[in-house]
Amino acid sequence: MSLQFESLSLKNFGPYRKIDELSLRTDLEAPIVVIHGENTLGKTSLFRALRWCLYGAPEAGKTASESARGLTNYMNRPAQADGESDMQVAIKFTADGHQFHLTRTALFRNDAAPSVSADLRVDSQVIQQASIDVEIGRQLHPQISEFFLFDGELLRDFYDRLNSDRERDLLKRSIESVLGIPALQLAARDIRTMTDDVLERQTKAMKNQENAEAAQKRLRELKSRQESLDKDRAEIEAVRRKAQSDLEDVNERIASVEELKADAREMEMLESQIKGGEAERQQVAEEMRKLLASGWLAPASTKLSVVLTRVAAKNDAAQEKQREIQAARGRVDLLQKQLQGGTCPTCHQELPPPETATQQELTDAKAKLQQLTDEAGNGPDLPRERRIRALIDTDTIRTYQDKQAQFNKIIAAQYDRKRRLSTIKDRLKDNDAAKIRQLGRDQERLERAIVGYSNALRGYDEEQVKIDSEQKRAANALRKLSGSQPTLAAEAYFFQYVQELTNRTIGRYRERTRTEVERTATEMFMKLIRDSEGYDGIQIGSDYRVDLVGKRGPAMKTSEGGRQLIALSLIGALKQAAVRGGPVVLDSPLARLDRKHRENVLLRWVPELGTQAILLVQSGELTEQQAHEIMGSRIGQEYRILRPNNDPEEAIIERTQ
Amino acid sequence: MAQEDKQQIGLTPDANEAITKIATDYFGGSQQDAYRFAISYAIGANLDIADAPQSGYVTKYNALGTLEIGSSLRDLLELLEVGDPSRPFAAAEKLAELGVRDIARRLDGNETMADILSSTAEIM
Repeated sequence: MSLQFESLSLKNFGPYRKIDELSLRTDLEAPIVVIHGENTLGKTSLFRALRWCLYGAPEAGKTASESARGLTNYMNRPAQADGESDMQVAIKFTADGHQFHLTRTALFRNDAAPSVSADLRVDSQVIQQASIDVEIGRQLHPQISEFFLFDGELLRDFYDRLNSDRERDLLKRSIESVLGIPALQLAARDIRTMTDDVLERQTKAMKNQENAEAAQKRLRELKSRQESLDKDRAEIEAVRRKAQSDLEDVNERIASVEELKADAREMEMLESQIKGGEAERQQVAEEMRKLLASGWLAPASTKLSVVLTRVAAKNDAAQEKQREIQAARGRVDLLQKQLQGGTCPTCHQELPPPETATQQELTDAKAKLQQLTDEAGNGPDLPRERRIRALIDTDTIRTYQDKQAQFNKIIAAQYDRKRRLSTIKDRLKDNDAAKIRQLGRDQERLERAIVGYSNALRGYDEEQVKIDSEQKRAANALRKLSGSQPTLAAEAYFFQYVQELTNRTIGRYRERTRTEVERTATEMFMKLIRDSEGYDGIQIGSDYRVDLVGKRGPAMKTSEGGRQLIALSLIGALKQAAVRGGPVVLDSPLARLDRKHRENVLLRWVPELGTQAILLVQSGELTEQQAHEIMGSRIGQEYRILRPNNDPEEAIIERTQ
Repeated sequence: MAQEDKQQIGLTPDANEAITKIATDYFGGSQQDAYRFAISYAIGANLDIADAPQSGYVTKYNALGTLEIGSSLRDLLELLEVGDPSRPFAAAEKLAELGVRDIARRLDGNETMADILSSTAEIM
């Protein structure tokens, strides 16, 4: 039964302060886990946490000891600032019907490299420290992990690596590990040891002293050559591994030089934005200053408005009173005219002669007029009202508030820019042109050294063939010598036969699996590529050189997206041919593919990977909606990574529904 | 005989220190603008003129011709009936003192000038 992840827990790893038992459980109907997260939120941190927990190295191709000094970069900084000093990742998984619980912890003390410890329990039984790596290697060997735990960058390079002499040997060994060939090679080596042993016994049993001594001498020579060859090979492999690791370091630093160039461009842009922001800030500040200076009456305007309301009401009342006085005065005038006779001032008709009551009416009207005039006082004070109105300012406060909001926005943007600029400057300050040129030289030197070591190793293969052939000749010679014992001769003959048989079997197995991988990879590629009729397939050479074959033969050119599809096809084929199954974890694997090819990968490639696939994706390659549209019920678990407080050093993971 | 109005007005040394900072931060360095604003603010914020120090003022401006060009300041005090109507500049000085101190206190408390302005619109 293959390995399946059950859950992942993180403490203080990367931007994750505390993630408890993120369930990765899947089943056959819904084998896919999708984790959505935009760039820089923490997808790669999650991916590296998984790798670190399994192998003690967050990045592919590095050993635990090589990674130790860089672990500080993964410790959550806010946690560190709060005085915490431990970083921990725990994975629960099942394999071969057993429950595994692996926990890896790093303790940081001062500036020294952290102390790292691991704890593995299989069905609650504690595994000894020394056996943990072996046990994990047995389930998912680090050498093959790059086919199952891989990120988009690795995928992008995969095709190029397969087609470069230097990398091909390494990848070939990794691929052969996936296919189980080293196990067969170990068996062949054991058989060779047994053959040596029987030949030695054969010489000892010889009666003719002279022949026996000559044969023994010959065998000793061969054994010595074999031992020396094994030793040399082991040494060269060790230095090549070291050179490879150094090269990866250098490559990483060179990659960071590219990042530095991008940083420098961003720095220029930020400096220009900060300059523009400062000018904008000054302009808005000046506008605010002018508003306060010209609108200095604004704070008192509410008070003025209150007084204005009061004065206006008073004036309205006074004006009403004036109208009443006017009416009363008109009445008095009319009555007086009536008493005097003559014509009506309004209609100009002859007024009737006065009655007795008219005199009384006039007296009353005069009294009323007097009363109204007494009550009216000075009348309305309209100039006062106008003066108040002239002082009231209803615009300044609102305009100032708008300007303040604009100002705050500028300040916040400037703060963000300055903080980003400071981070970039920190990154740039330790790098100068000389250092960057030295990196280029180191890269060339290491690449040359690795090619040299690879050639030396190939030379050892030729030497091995010679030794095997001489051993065969020595064995034949021994058999023909008089005095040799028939039973030992038969035994020797048997082992030699088995050895030859094993070597042939390895060759045939290698060829058979290569053909199988080539066929499966071609099938997968045809499913993935749009317009598949334009291609004949993928050709995998005996040295694992990969070629795209078109209608006009091999070496067909293809785009970066096409190369990524080839790499995915090869990985899928290796996964199917692998001696042990396991989950596939992909970090941003779809970024360089268009929508059609993304759909093909998700619908046709992922389902063929087996029982579990964990996809870490950003919305540019797959939105949450697209994930549902394309994979629907095949999604077993779905999460999104969030930055709750806008702090790049803090991330959380939540279930999408 | 009624006391004559002040011709030269100013602030106490404490308020003078505060207005220097307010003027620099919000009035492009113009203390006169800040001074006028503080008078208006003191009225808008209902600060009680009786709370102002009775003495200790250091002269800063000629009231007429420097601080008051036109009649807005006197109109303001007269129309709102603030202080002794026959001594508007004496009232203005005390209001400026109160206003400057209160604005400085609020700015120190992390309020913005927009907050300070808005608060006067809420006070009746």
